[in-house]
Amino acid sequence: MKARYILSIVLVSLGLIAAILPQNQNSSLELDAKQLLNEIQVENYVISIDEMANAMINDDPEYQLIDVRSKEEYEKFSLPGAMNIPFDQLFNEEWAPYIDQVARKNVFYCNGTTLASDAWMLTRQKGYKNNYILKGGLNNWYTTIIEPDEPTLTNGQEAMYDYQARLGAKQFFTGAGAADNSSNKKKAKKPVPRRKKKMVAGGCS
Amino acid sequence: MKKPYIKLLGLFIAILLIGFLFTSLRSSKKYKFDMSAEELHSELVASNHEMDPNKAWDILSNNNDDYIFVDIRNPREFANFHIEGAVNVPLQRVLDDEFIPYLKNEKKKVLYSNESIKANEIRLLLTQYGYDNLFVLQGGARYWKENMLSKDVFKSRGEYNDNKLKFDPNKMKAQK
Repeated sequence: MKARYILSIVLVSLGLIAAILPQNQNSSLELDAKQLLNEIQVENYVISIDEMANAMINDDPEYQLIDVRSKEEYEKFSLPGAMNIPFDQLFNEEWAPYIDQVARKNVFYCNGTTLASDAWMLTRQKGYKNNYILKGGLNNWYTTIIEPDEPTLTNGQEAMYDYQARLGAKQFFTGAGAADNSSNKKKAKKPVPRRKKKMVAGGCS
Repeated sequence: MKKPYIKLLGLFIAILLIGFLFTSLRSSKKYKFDMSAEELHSELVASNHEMDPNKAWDILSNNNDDYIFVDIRNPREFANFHIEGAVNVPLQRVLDDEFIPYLKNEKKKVLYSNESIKANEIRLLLTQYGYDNLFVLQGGARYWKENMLSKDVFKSRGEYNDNKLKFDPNKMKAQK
């Protein structure tokens, strides 16, 4: 008799706690300040120019370049295969399937680093994964691929390999083999939605 | 007959208390952001918090008290070289209580790292966390050392603009 009372009281109080608990499951995805600070320190969200150039030459479907500059800048010059998501439209509904997905590595770039790093910080805080930054942006792209410094003997063998690869990449991006920049712009790959669309509530469908 | 009821009531209240204590501990609010990502985004689009090295130079040479320079590199790098008058708040410890007095005050804080990317990320982090009056020294310690403190008079102390394309895109086509 007494055991039954105790059991019912325990169950009722647990039920009450469960009923009053906050229900926002969404916020568990978002990062708090400490978690975001940890990610900044680990710094595994930066893609080097050499890695990106290699991926582009091999037409690696895993990478999607995203130009976060304005439409005008994008139209004037952009990297082959890049799509344009102007920074001021970052959270527009239409881009959500592109920046919040699990299928590809998105690589944000701008002229330098600020805009791309802004975009990364905002999307990461919201809990989106698979977004990266192109190290040093377009300016670094130019000095690394188009005008690479010739390594001296003291730089070692590895630097020499990198240099050879860069010369090859330069040939690829500027040489006769490279198509005109405008025609080289591939269509952005189709987005892969992260979440299933919500079912239509009510009514007979 | 009365006593068992009181015991049961006591048990009920005890379980409720323990339950709430447990759930409130789990969702610790200590490091919760003040601002949503969308709010920070609109702030970033609307305003610019970049500090040109030349402006920073003027502030330092005029001994302007409204500003304080915050070096977010590690103590070893800070000891090696830092901008005169700067305080050292190592990046991994910016959220620690002991550094709040340096970051949460009326002054304008100019953050710098070796370049500007880390300082920019810390500015965003702290702004979203509820701090204000934070700026980012463009080019960071490296540019400062190489260009602002350079003895070479011919070396430019020109503006540092991260957002500008530093090459002519047409040159890419001309090389064909």
